Amino acid sequence: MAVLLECQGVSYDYPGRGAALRDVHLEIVKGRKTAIIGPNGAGKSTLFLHLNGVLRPKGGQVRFQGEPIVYRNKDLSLLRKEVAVILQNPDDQIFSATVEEDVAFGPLNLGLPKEEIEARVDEALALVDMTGERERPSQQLSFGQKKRLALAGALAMRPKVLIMDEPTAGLDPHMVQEVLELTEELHMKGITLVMSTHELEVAYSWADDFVVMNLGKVVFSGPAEGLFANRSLLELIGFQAPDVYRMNEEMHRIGLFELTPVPKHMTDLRMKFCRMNGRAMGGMSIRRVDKGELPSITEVHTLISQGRAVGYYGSRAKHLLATMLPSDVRLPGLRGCLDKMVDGRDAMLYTDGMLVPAIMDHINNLAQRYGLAINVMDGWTEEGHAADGWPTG
Amino acid sequence: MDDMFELDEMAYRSAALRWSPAGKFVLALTMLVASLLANTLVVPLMVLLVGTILLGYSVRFRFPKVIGALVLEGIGIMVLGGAVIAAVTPGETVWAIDLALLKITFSGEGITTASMVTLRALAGISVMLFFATSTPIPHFADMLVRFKVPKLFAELMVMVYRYSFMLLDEVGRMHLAAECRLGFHGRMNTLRTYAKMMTGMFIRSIETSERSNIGMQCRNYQGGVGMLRQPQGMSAPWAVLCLAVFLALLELNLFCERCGILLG
Amino acid sequence: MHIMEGFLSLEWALFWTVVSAPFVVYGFYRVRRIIKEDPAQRTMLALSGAFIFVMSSFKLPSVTGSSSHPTGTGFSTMFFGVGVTSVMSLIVLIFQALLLAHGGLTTLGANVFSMGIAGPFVAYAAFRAMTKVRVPTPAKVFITVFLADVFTYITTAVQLALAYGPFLSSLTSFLAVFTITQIPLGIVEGILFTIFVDYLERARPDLTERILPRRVADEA
Repeated sequence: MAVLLECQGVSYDYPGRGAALRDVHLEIVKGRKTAIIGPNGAGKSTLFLHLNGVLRPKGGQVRFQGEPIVYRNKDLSLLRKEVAVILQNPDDQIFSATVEEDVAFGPLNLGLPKEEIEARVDEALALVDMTGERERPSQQLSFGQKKRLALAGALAMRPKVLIMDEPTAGLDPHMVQEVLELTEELHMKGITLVMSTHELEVAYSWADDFVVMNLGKVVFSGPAEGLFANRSLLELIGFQAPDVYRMNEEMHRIGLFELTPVPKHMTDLRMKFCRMNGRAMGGMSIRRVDKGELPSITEVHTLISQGRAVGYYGSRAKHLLATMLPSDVRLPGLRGCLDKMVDGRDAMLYTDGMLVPAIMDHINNLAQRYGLAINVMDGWTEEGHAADGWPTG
Repeated sequence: MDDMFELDEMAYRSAALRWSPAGKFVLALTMLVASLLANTLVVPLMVLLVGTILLGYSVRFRFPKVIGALVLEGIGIMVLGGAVIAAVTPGETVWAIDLALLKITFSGEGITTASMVTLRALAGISVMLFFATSTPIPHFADMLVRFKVPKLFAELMVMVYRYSFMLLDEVGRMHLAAECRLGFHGRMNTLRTYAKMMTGMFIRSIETSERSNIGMQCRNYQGGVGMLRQPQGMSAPWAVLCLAVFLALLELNLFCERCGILLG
Repeated sequence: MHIMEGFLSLEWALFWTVVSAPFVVYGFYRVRRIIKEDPAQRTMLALSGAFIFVMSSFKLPSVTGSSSHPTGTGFSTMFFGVGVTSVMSLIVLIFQALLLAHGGLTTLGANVFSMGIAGPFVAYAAFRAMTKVRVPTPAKVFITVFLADVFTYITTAVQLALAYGPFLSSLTSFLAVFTITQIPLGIVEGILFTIFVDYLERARPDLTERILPRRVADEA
């Protein structure tokens, strides 16, 4: 496990406002998703600004890739290229008048050649699904769009670490899901992710590692299970273990099933029931949008009327489907499909070929974890989709 | 306040959005200058006509209420100003109003000058509205950079523009909140409410500025921002067009002068 | 109320542009130096510009029944001095021309001179003098803002009188009109800012200290 970012005894205080960080020790591991939780004023945002060198610790040090941060303009510039921080309020981070100019702001500051900047802007806008908005003036965007624009601005730097301060705050549930799916996709591409949030449920289903802060101190760090087992700590910071976690616990207590595997999400919990009842899960058939496998609205209707679920995964699939389907059709993502598969329904998932191995991995992990047989079929060959049938009989 | 939002959005939807800002600007300026140089009413009339057509094209011949309001406001100021000009210009009295305290006399020259000025102002409004409804501020800033105005100035302008809308959003919300709580009930109360709103807005701007500085650092700001899309410059056809319009208007002026049509 | 497009002949339009230019150039030089010394001032300046612009869009009730817009330059003068205010005024006037169709393009120079140079200049001189003799803050703020407004319109009247008719008689006429429409506005804006500074002092005394420092007196 390579540690990318590390805080060693970092302390900081804002002049006249007392200590904001007190002897913080922290490790951000490469390729993992870390959630930082804690009440307002715990020092999360202050910590983030230390990780990209905007603030300089009054005590202790911050290391990136094993080296202490050097607080010289040139070095800081290199650091911020690798470690992108997205502030909570997108308005604090949008400076340019139009969407594409704003995405180009970071790369322009890096002094990259024009073609490179264009390529990055295209890529970042496609990732957040704002290609259609590229020439719109930034002040005419909705809050959710501004959030996505701020994200695109950070992605255009092609960072190794993406640090998001409350990325889901103020968004509607559908958009929260979209943001989370986008981060999953970034994660699959190898970006290390850090997110602060108040929503424990969201953090629980998302993160590999947890860091809990309170009053400028790190009071816990490690995997989620350790945190929720530590009741006294949770109570002290005024948090409650997520519903799914507690439900699993209760069900174990009444002898329904084992405590492990601990479900991280309602779908996971339902998988446990599935296993217990000996019910079979539906299968999944993957369609590759990059090979032109896109459904028409009639096909979608047909599939759904046959009792099947239709979903997409990844920004590219989302974008391409949006061009095919009417705007009022909102298809579920990977997790939504899995949930329907728990009902025993088959699902058709549209995605980019690049993401297929990661999806396979993810589903195989789940299958193993919950002891279920989940059939996934990706029959793509160069000649076309060889197997047109459904994986389960 | 809403006027601004409307004009800004209109500019982004304009049929003439893609025209070179520099071209539009020089064309507008050409017409304005020609109407200032003219000594016959025909030229400002002509400019008014062309300006109105251009404005119509720019808004796709759908004149929203806001334009009407702006024109009316302009006419109000114009009439007032025109009346004063008519009254102060010396010459043979053709019309007099006797008020109890003062006697206002209008000379023939005064009325001619006033109608000339009012027409120029009307023409000016149409031409300016054409430019305003088709050119968002950032395009204008881009154009300034093209004209060798220091980049920092253009940058500041774009930032003021962006922050203006942010503050306007904020003010809109505060206005609503104040209205819900009867903040605009009575004159003194209204003033107090405005002062409170300003305080809120001011504190908010300072805090925003502090946070935006952090935001800039997070995005690797090094001083001096480049631009992805270089603005469209002033192409040769535009230059020729502007020159032609200018000469045509001057020619029109000379012709009218010779024939003595509507001299101002 | 700015001079509208078409109200000044080309000669006068050019004349005022040429007169205003050096002030604006000097102001811009000041802006550049402020930002160079402290890059954080960039956002601060931009936000102040936005603040002035947004405030100038407030429709204040005025005695004549019509509504008027404050100029906001008195405030900016207390904050940054005359040089920077002239640059801010230029930006705000461009915005008013392009977003509200107020003022004009050929009259920009004349309007910058009245709103961004003459008014602030008088206001700033009065402000410094009052700081020296320790006039209490509310009175100081009121008078500074009022003077910035009133001198803006006196200058406008002079500009119009120069352009039209025999100077003295037309100046009195223009002044008469402005007295009716603009003096009340100056008073209203003065009151507005006095309340504003009072509120600010209570909400964020640290900020008030930054705008209305006692340092002008110390400097002298």
